[in-house]
Amino acid sequence: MRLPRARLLEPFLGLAMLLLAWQAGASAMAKPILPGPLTVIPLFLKDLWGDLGLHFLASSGRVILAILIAVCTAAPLGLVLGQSPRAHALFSPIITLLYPVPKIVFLPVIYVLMGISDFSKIFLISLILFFQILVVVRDEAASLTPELIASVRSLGAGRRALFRFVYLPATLPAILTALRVSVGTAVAVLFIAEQALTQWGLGYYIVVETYQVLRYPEMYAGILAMGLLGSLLYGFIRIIERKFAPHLFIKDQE
Amino acid sequence: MSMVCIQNLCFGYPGKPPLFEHFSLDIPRGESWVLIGPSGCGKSTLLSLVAGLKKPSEGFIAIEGRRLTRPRPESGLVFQDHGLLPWATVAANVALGLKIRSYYGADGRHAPLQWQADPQAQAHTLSLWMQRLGLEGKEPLYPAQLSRGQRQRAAIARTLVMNPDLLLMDEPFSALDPPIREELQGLMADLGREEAITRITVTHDIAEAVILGEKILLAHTGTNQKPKILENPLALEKAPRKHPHFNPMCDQVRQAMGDAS
Repeated sequence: MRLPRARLLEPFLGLAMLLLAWQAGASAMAKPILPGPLTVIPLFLKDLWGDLGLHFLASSGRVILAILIAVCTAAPLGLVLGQSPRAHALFSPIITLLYPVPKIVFLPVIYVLMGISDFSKIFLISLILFFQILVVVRDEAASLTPELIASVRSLGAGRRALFRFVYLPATLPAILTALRVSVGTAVAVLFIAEQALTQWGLGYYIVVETYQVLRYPEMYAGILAMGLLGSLLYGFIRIIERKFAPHLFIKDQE
Repeated sequence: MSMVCIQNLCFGYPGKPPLFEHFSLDIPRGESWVLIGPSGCGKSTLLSLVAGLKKPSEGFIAIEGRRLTRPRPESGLVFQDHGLLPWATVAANVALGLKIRSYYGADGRHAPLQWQADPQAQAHTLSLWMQRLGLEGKEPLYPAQLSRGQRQRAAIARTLVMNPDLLLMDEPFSALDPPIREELQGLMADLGREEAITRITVTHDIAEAVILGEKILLAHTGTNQKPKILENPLALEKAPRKHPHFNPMCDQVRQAMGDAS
């Protein structure tokens, strides 16, 4: 299925409008705090091959590690909670209490307990993703009816085949959706965590290396890199979703 | 030799009177049985026991002379809820059982010992059953895109491609509208005549019992001990619903159900 030409052009049109508004604002204000895209974008493209690129890689590495840790811990736990009413009854009050708490408030606690290291930053981000994934995987696993499990078992499936043919395909889309909606928060928390005691990362670059020394065009290049990181993660998750959960993209004919 | 042999079966749920006590029954090979009774009488439970999904607290069930300890790969099971995977296409759903067999290989536990993976024969079986159940052209669709009747057809096809020798169905048509239900009942009756699969169908619908069951086993609320069986040669006729004895037979079942409770 191919999109008509006009539909393909629309995103670029939107982007052009944003750049125009940015340039207009910059020209109208004419202050160093808001440089225009004509200054920032060439700088961004140039710096991305220098230090900015390394900061970008440091931040990406932290987020990707955090995603891996969160998926590997939350998904199995969510499955158990969703399929075992007893475990659900035992743990759901704890999850209900902790789920709405913004995990960033644990930043000082984590720093004190784990030290201000790379790992404590990664841990904080994976904590955010952990709860998001845990809750959706739990609910998804709980929606697998006993009839569905029994009928797949009746086709000869033991525990291994149930995992391979039911639990894995049932929860993978849920994991991806949870990641997609929470990756923005993860990047935001990364920005805050990277401001303290590290030499690498976009948070450090934007606040310490550019903002505090009034290098505003470079600061905007850092913000663009942050935006790029978020969009790349979002887009990448979307592509995996299309590949592994095509049934979410069908149009209901009923 | 009987296909299903139930010996001295006891089963109950905790905190309730037992559903079955020293219950014994023989089902000969190739026969079509219907289990009928009010809800809560244990008819679905008995089917799960025969399927090997539940274990008797006393006594045993033997199928083809072998004691049942777990679901048997040669038995097929169809539920009221179609149990199709929502994320898989109709083709993938119907092929699921075969995929599970290939996954384990012929280990005698998950797939019959003499089973051999033959992709060409499998593809042939798949298209054959898709066609017989009127699902041609639906292969690329997802269950959400099908009607209820089509979903149930897909669930039946998924079971039949496994070539079961014992077909267990738990209220397979009760979620369907009457015309589709009658059509599928006719289809299953025809299949039974052609394939000689031993069938046990659970229902609460008297007409369905008379159409599908050459033997009708009546379960009642409380504890079932001695099986009450009605002979129903009408189910062997070509069009039982149009037979002059159809309504009298239904009355007979209705009366027997009243006597049993």
